[in-house]
Amino acid sequence: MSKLKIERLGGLAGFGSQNSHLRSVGEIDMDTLSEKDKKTVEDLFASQGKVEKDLAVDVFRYRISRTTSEGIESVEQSEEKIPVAIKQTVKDEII
Amino acid sequence: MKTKKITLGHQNCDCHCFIIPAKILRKFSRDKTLSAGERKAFSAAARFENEWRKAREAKSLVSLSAQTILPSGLTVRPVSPPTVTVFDCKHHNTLPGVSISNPGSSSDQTCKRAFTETTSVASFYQSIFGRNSIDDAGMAMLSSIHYSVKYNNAFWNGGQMTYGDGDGNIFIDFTKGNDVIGHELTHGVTQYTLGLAYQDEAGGLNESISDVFGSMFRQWQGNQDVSQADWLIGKDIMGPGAVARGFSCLRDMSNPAASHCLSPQPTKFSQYRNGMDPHESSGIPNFAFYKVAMALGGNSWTIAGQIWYNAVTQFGPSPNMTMKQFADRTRKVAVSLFSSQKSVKVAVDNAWKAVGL
Ligand SMILES: [Zn+2]
Repeated sequence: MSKLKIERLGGLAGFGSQNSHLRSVGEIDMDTLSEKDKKTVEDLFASQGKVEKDLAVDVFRYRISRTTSEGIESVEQSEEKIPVAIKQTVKDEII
Repeated sequence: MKTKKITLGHQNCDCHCFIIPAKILRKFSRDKTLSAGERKAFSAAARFENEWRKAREAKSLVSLSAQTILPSGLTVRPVSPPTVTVFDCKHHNTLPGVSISNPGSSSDQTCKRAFTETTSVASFYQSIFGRNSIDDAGMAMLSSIHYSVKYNNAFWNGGQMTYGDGDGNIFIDFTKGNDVIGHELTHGVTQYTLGLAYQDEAGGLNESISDVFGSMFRQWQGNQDVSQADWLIGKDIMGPGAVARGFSCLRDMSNPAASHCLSPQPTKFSQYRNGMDPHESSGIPNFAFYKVAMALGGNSWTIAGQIWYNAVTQFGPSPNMTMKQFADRTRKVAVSLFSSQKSVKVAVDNAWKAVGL
């Protein structure tokens, strides 16, 4: 089973930055995703994390990480491109 | 074929004009749930938007030139305030949501606040800086409220503001922060002026400009001088869980590294690293603005605010501007705007030097 680690970053409050007390993380098994969402995730990794430049600011970004034979692979993308099933895994907390 | 109802018109007037970003128009033009005719219409509208944007920019330029060549004693006819609209996402993630008629008298306090505070930000920009809305050409100001479920964020997406209700623990309703509303609308102003990118130094400047004018708007609304101001960002959206842990704000412009901030920031440029979140690196120019305003005293918008506004709006786009370039620009503007007051030049220079720029 392939686990995906999910982190929600940025936003007006600056979630997940180096000194921030705000964290939002979650986890999901790739196998539990729909075929459509699996393809979206595979496409995101295939895009090499190239984030399309647009005018949106303060919008959350999501970092999705998975462990492969070559190590940990991560990709970041803004929230409108992330499947709902993945976005729902994270929980906001103060650390 | 499925049909989709899309409402784009102004809600408070009889006109048929609308301001929807070209990005969204292009998205509709590819939406397979719309008919071929509708997709074609959106595609044409997207092309038209580009032309229209150029016309708006030309109009701004003409307006600015007219102001400079008008003989002294003549005043420019007052501009009518921009249309302010509010939409309800009803806890879904689709923008803009459902239009709310008469938002200023709504029984939903979130709606009323979004309308009232947005109108107040427009008034702040008009009365203090002579700016006519976000684009200085009277652009309608659109806000969506109740976005998503327990959503701990507010954002500007290039064409409108969006506010979440907060989770009720870490954050409460994001419309409760007048500085938050000022912050988001200022992202629009930056987009139409400097056009700053959202990464590295330009990203930090982009965030800082929003914090600076968000805080300045809060002070202006409260009629506070610089010593009365709290200089906090997000104080009024802190939820009980955050307050119980001793956090009183997202950021503190007077002490960016303070432990009462949910997201403490660097205070010196030597701490800056490429790739930093813009909400982190913004602490450096935020601290510089605070120092200028404190050194000058009085109201932040009278001198320091005018220098920052001029530096942001009067030099055209500069998407990859560095913090040093911005600092040097404010130094030059301080001299040109306040040539008879040497203390202004000194205050600006000292503030930037104190943060290492
Ligand atoms: Zn921002």
